[in-house]
Amino acid sequence: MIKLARLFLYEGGKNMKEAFFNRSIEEQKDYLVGLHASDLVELYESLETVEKEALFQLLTDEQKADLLAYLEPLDAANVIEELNLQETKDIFYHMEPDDITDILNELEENQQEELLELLDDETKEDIEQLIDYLDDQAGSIMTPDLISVTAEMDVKDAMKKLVLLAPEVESINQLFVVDKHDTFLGVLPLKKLIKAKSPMKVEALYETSLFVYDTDDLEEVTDLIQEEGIYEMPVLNDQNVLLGMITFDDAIDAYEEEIIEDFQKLTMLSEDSQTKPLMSAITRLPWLALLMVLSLPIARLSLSFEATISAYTIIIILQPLILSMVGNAGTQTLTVSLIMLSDKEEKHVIKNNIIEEFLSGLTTGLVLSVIAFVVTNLFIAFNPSLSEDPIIFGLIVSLSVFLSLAFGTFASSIIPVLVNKIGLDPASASGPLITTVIDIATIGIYYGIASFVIGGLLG
Amino acid sequence: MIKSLKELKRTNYLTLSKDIDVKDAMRIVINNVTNETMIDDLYVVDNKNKLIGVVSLKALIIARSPATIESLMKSKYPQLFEESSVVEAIDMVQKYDTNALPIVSKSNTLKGIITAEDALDLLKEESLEDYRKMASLNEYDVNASALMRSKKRLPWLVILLGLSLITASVLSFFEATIEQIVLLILFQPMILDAAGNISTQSLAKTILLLNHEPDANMNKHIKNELVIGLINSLFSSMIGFAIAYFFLVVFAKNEPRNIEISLVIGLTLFIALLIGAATGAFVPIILKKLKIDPSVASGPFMTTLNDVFSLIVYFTLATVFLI
Repeated sequence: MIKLARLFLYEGGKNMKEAFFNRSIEEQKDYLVGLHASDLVELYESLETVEKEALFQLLTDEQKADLLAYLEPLDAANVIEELNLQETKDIFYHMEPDDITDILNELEENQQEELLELLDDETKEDIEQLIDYLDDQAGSIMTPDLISVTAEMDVKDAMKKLVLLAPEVESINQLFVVDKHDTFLGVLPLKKLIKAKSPMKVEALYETSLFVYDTDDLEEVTDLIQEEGIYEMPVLNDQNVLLGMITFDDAIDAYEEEIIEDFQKLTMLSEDSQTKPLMSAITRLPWLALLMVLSLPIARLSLSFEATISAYTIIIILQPLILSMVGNAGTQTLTVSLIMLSDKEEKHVIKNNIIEEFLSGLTTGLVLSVIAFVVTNLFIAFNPSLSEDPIIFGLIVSLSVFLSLAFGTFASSIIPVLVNKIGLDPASASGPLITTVIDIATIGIYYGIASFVIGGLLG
Repeated sequence: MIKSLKELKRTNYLTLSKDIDVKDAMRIVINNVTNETMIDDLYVVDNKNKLIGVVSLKALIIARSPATIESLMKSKYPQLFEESSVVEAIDMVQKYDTNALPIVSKSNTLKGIITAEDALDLLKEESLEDYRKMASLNEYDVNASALMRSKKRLPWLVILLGLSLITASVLSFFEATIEQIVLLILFQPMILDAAGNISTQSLAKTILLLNHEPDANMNKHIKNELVIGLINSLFSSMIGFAIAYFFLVVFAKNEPRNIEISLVIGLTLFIALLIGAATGAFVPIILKKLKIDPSVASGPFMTTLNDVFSLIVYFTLATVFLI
């Protein structure tokens, strides 16, 4: 039995589905007992609509509740819409207020109210409080279900309360200690409680703890949880009244969402994996179009050097060397700056970073300009038809690399900081802005130097 | 960067045997627990230290004696193997919403645990790593000195300089065409940037999918990306045509063939962007198949690939239609 179950669990996806439907109803029910909600969702999502309904009918109310809690809220809302009120009520009875809130958030207001009426007063109150939080507030991911004890309680009574309430809460690593007005005092780790011998008051055992406020910025809260490794973060209101806790798994999910969001901003994506291709195309297009328009000034600038470049095609042919090198160095610097800004480093660190980047740009530029000189000479030596003056063009490329690299790294380190200062999001705005600025500067420098040198030496 | 769970596993967990009573089990927990022990789950092992079940402390606290651990334990539970990758570990911890997962050997011997805290730290490290690799940055330290920074980045930049020679060679192949119609060069940045950008978009989507949703359906993803690429290549080529035509009419009044040149630019954009979108979707998947981390080779490697394709398309079309 154990072996079979494990086989099931780790085959994943398609096999799971086949293995499931090849069995009798009784065996299917057996299999579903004790299946982790996450695997249940995986099985469910691998099915066709009709099969989904068949599976749903096999589940107990508790399993249905698990399934809905783990599905994407929008999908869960779609399931709920198909159910009658009694069925919904039975399922909601087994769900946590924060999970119900996520689902309600996907529904129309009149539906929300209708469903809220199904719940007992306490849950309803919890949800009404949760539903008002904005997505970027800590309160939006907290769960109000926790076990609180007062400081005057004896450890034996605290243990009793724990045993009584444990099935209702997500995790029991610690009890939350409050005074009679529900003001937060600290936490009592379960490890301490199970070792304690009555008579002893909670007061003698509890510890102070970090906490956050419900309106705190979610990103800062998840960073704090990550840095301090706090498995159950207390959430208070501005009166220091304990409202709920943020569990570690919810913090990880929120954290990953932020990471993905940052990554998307940097790469000009604004969609998730559920988006339909046409919608994705429409959301990506404005960026592509904007960046094409931004390249107009580059074309205009190049045009003013038309005389030089039409006389010496070699300039055009060597152009990728310079543009790509400056572009690559700029991307490296930009990445450092963006990570630094998202880590919210102190002012002097940011200032110091700009200075070091600039100096590094000068050093890198110096070395690369020497290498570029050699490379240009070799390139012309292998393609002698390109030019009869390898040294001169080597010098032009070399000088341009040095100047544009120094400028490019400086721009890449300071632009994100400036963008951040004026209140825009540095991750999404910096990339295109920097590319354009660097391209214009580099082409200006390169063609400028080329015209000047050629005018003086070859003209 | 830690590559396998062997280096990471922790030993701050407690084991029980299946035949003992819950009361004795509780006593074992109380006597052995330290500040560092993870006791959300207790691991049930046989006499050869093979993992046979998991009991949550919650279940143990609620249970009443007499009852054996066997009657409480779950025999279906998520677990990781020593050989599992870090991405897999992060994914499992997240998927099962647990505070710790057991790590076993191939023969199912309990070797250690990974905690949710470790998973979150790894997630942070992993995501920074993605950024750095895309930018071919092999270090991140805001306090590093200028010299240190240059030293670490230079080797990469030199390699990339080598790559740009490929692009330069493509250009030199079309020297004659460029010489005849210098105006073409004005739109080269627009074409290369657009192809690079569309490629970055589908590349980023693919890498996100590979790193954060490893079970996702890749065939469907590629199909979607190609559809998106087709739509946007079409629109971009029209926009590009308009931009080029406008530019030539306003700034290059002496050029009699402004319609023809703009058409070549539009057509190039369509083909080059389609290729760019496709490479963005395919290359990371191919790299992953070849067991190369998709993030590392993607950035500059992709740029060169797209530049070369785009330039070949651009100047071939120009040579055919304009010369």
